[in-house]
Amino acid sequence: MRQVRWFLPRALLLMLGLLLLLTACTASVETVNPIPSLSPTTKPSAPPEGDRKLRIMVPKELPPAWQEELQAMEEQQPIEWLRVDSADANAYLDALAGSNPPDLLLFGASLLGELRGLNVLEDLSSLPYGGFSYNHVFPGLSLDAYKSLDGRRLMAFPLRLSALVTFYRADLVEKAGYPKDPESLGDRLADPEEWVKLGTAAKANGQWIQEKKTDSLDFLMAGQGFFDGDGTFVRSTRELITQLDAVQRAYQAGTAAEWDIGSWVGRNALHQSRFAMLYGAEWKLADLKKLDPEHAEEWQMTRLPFDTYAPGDTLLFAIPSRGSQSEQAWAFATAMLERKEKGESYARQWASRFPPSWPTPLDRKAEKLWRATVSTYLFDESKTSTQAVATGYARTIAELNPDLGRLFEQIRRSSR
Amino acid sequence: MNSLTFRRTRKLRSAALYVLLGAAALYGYTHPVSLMFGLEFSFAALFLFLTGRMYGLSWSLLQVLVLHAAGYFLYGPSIGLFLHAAECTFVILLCGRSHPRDFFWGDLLFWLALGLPFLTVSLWGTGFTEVLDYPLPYFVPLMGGLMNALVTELLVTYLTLSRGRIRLRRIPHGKIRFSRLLKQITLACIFASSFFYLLNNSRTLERSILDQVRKEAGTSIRMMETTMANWSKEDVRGIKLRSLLSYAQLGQMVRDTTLSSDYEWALLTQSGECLLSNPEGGPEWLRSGRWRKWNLPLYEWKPDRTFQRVGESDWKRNGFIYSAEGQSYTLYVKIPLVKFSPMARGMYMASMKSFLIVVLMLSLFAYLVHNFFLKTIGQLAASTENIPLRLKSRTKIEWPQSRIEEVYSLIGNFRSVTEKLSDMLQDSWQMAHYDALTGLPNRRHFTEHLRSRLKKGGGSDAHLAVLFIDLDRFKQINDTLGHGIGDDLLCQVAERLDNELGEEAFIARLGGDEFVVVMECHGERLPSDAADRLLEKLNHPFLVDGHELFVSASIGISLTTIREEWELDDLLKKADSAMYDAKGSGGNAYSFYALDQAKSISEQMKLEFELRKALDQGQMSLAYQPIYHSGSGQIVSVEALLRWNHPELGSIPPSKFIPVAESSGLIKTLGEWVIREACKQARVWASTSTAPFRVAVNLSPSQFRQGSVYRLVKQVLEETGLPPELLELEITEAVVVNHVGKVMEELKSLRQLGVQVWIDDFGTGYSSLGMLKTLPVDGFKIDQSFVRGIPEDSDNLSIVRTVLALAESGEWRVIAEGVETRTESEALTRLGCMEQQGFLFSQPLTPDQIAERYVLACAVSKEEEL
Repeated sequence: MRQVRWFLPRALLLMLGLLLLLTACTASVETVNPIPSLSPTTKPSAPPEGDRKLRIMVPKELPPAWQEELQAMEEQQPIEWLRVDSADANAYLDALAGSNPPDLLLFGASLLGELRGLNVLEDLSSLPYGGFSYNHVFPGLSLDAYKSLDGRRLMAFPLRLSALVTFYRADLVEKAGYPKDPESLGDRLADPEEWVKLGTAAKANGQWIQEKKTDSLDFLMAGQGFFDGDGTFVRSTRELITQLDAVQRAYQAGTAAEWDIGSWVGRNALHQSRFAMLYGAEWKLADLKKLDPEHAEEWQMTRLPFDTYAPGDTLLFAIPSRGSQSEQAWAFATAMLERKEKGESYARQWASRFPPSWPTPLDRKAEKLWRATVSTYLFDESKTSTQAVATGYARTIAELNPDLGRLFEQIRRSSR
Repeated sequence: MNSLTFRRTRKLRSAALYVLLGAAALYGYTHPVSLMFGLEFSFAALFLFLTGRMYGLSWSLLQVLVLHAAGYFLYGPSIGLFLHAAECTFVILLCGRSHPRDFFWGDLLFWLALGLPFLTVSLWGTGFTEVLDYPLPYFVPLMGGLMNALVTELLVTYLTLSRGRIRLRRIPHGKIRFSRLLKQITLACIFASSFFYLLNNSRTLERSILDQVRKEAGTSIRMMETTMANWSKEDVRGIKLRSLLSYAQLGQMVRDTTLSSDYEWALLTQSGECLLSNPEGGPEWLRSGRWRKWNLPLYEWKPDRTFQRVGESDWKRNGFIYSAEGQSYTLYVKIPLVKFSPMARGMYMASMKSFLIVVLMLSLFAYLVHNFFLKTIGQLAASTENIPLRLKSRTKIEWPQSRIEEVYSLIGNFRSVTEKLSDMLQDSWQMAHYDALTGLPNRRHFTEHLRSRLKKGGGSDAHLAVLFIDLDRFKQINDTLGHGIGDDLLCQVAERLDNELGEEAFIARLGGDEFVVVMECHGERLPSDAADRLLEKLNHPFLVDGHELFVSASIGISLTTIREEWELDDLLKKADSAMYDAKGSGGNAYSFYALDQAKSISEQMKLEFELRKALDQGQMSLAYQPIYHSGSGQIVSVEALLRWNHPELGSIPPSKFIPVAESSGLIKTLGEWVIREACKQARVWASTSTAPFRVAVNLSPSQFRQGSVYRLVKQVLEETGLPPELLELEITEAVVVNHVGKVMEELKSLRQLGVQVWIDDFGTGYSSLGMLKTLPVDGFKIDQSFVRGIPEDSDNLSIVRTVLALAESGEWRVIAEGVETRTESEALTRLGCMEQQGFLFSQPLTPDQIAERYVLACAVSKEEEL
């Protein structure tokens, strides 16, 4: 009994000590956060008041009217123009990645794909910008293409926009048996078959309706991307196959001159009334009339064949987050937006009809692949338009993967 | 140490202990035993419970308040903190100093009534819905609380906790209640095993997870750094521009180099700018949380504490973070701890299963021990409690059954011992309460019976009667025929008493020849009737060992209606006194107690007292009755007769004081005095008488028992100078019957000395003739009862004739006692009995009268002759 009497209390005390020891042994040692203190996105400091110039990166090639408008803005504030080739995306990207990025980017729609995937541009829909308040400039225009890929930010906004149109010689078209009235002609050509017939008829009269065999392919795909927001490949529709079939038959019918009207041969052909129909941005009509002054009165413009509406040249702006004069950049852009464009453009009329576009950083690569494949197939008499579309799809997707999958996976994640 | 200093020291100790307990509680709270996945054991409650038991409600709640306020300021508010405070408060209120209940059950009550419902609501509030799949968030706080309560209970049970000090408790009487010990051991085993099992598993799991994390991180870091080193200019630019594609590529790289697609990561510049991260906007661990370094570049990360936490209930956000360097960028990747939750869950569920198995096994073990062992032992303990009392009250003992061999054997041993004890007690009780000789209840039994009857009470008209029965002349029977005969006679007397009154009265033997009857008297049932019936039965002769014995009895009756215990002794004394009254009237009678008999009792006591003074004060004297020769008319001897002449009470007859002397032990002194005095007187007479005569002295049987009569007589003869031939010693038949061998030697020696030995009261002692032949005696003195009425009484005449014929054949002399008439004297003379004694010849005379009549006269006549 005596042993029990002594054992129990000792065991209890031992257990108590053990418990305290356990707590001591299991105490964790916390340390400070080893990650360096997070610094916000750094902006270069603004230059001194006297030297302050708005640094604007702008494409070298712009419609003359637009260039004049830009030049005119220098009267309001000093501007340093950083001119780059509009097709040189790297120039833009390098500038953005550099230590002193421009305050404002002016660029064409072809750069949208790259810029939409970046997270270095200001959200123009947020304060203090409020870009959506300028929707009225291009009524009905879908802004999806100007939003970031996750759809959360409005990273670009159109300053100027032109529509892609059909230029035609009214006399020659009439001679081919088609109305010379723009509206009537546009309606007739909405049917791809009519466009092929017109081409065949014009050819029979010794005239072409395309400078190059890819013209029709160009206006058909103008303003269109390769994917929609869900990552679905949009250039494999039945409708496209029908349209491309018409393109193929037009090619087979020899409706393309394969001469550029800017060339000497092409210009001669133009003068010799060998071109019944051409395609381009609406502002080019004036240039065309200058090139062919003898028939200037005959050159008219209507909407694109195949019932197609597409943007032509586009001037967009975006404000880099790391730009030192974001507010001035915004002021510049809004001033441009508020400045009345000369004349009433088709772009403003047809903005709501422009096809939905969802450019991605992979579009440039996709364009090369797809166009090469489809062109090869379309202009090979042994292939059909269906084969062209299918092969274009397969090759493009195969080539874009795995980046394509990662991109849209990331887009889905970012969109949540 | 004076009392003031003592009180101060005690107060200081009390305060210090209070602070220490509070500090220990705070330490326990700030240093919980961490299990994996944010589960924690805290021992804070243990110390708060102890304070609750030692310091009362106010001080305890103050400590609870202070501790949890400290917890609030240290870690911020949380559900866990609130729950802990509620648990401590509840248990202290329920089981604190003012209500010292069992802490374990108090805490269990808290969890069942409040804790678990509150915990359920809280966990559901945090989005925890996996109760069945993952019960640990319930299990750990519950087990932690119960474990604290159990340890507290063990401490308060086995330690003496006082404000002044804590020391080991001396267990009262050195006994531990095994059932409680079993419960505590079982619970302690369950909790300790599960706790350490859980702790050990947590450590193992933690090590396992760390190993996996290290391996994965090491591999990932190498692969990532290789990939990052190979980034092109466009890749770096894409990162700088936070390109979504770069983001996707970087995410893919992380996925490719790790084992999961869900890891959080962040790519930081050297300046700390987060370029890309998953999730976008930067994981929370970039900005907050608690970090614990394992080894570079591996860290364990926990989120900041939140209000909704219960312990570390938001452990799902925990993880391990490592980093990879490349091209001025650092990529941090977090391996979420939740990744290992299936493994942990599996392990903990296995632990839970093991725990449940342990609980089941221990419970089963405890049940078996309790049911098969403890319960049986408890029943055995209950059955064997106060066994002597139970046996005494003859309560039936229910023995438990057991299938356990050792317990079965133990029960068997107990049963055997108890049965033997029962037998012994029965025997002892029998011996203590029944007379071994007659089988009747003894004095003790009688006393208890009478006491119980007096206590029990009875009808208002019922008398309780006590009949005290004493056999007449039993002493002579015993003395003459021996104790064997006497004992047989007593047995037969008892049997007759029992047969006659056994069914209506309680009969006991008090000792010797004294019997007592206790009976209820009501209506026609009278004690006098019972006494008559008894006397009538006893008057029939008894046949004992060939002897036909006649016995009568004296019965004293006392009655009472007072049913009180104190009546007991009085009732018996009264019956005893009444018995003496009956005996005084000649025996073979009964007598009711009268009030004046009380006086007699007190007189006897006084008599004894006076007797002790009598010899010293010379109150005793001897008278001498002459014995004549009927033929010559000459005196042949004188018989010394003791006389007591009290100065106040007057002359007291021997029949009164001899029994007192016998019973008080004074008979020895008295006997010696008589011999010495008689011899002195005889020497005087002999020195003056020309015809000296013998002097006869009666000896009591007790004188033979108490010493050597021969030595005494020889000494007295030497002292007095009396010739032995002049001394006669008279003994009764009882002397020779009871002490045959020893008495024979004594008598022979006395006769050789010259002293004559006579048998007194011959014929009343039942001595056998065969024995008489061998007796070294000189003659017989025929008892006066045989002399009375001869020669008319033919029976007595024939007896005397027979005795004389016997004496003649043995050459013995015969003296007839109690001769009162001349007719008797002549008849005796004719029969040949010449020596006679009685009132016919002379009353007992004083020594002077003897001297005057027989010594001086003899001397004168001789002188005249001369």
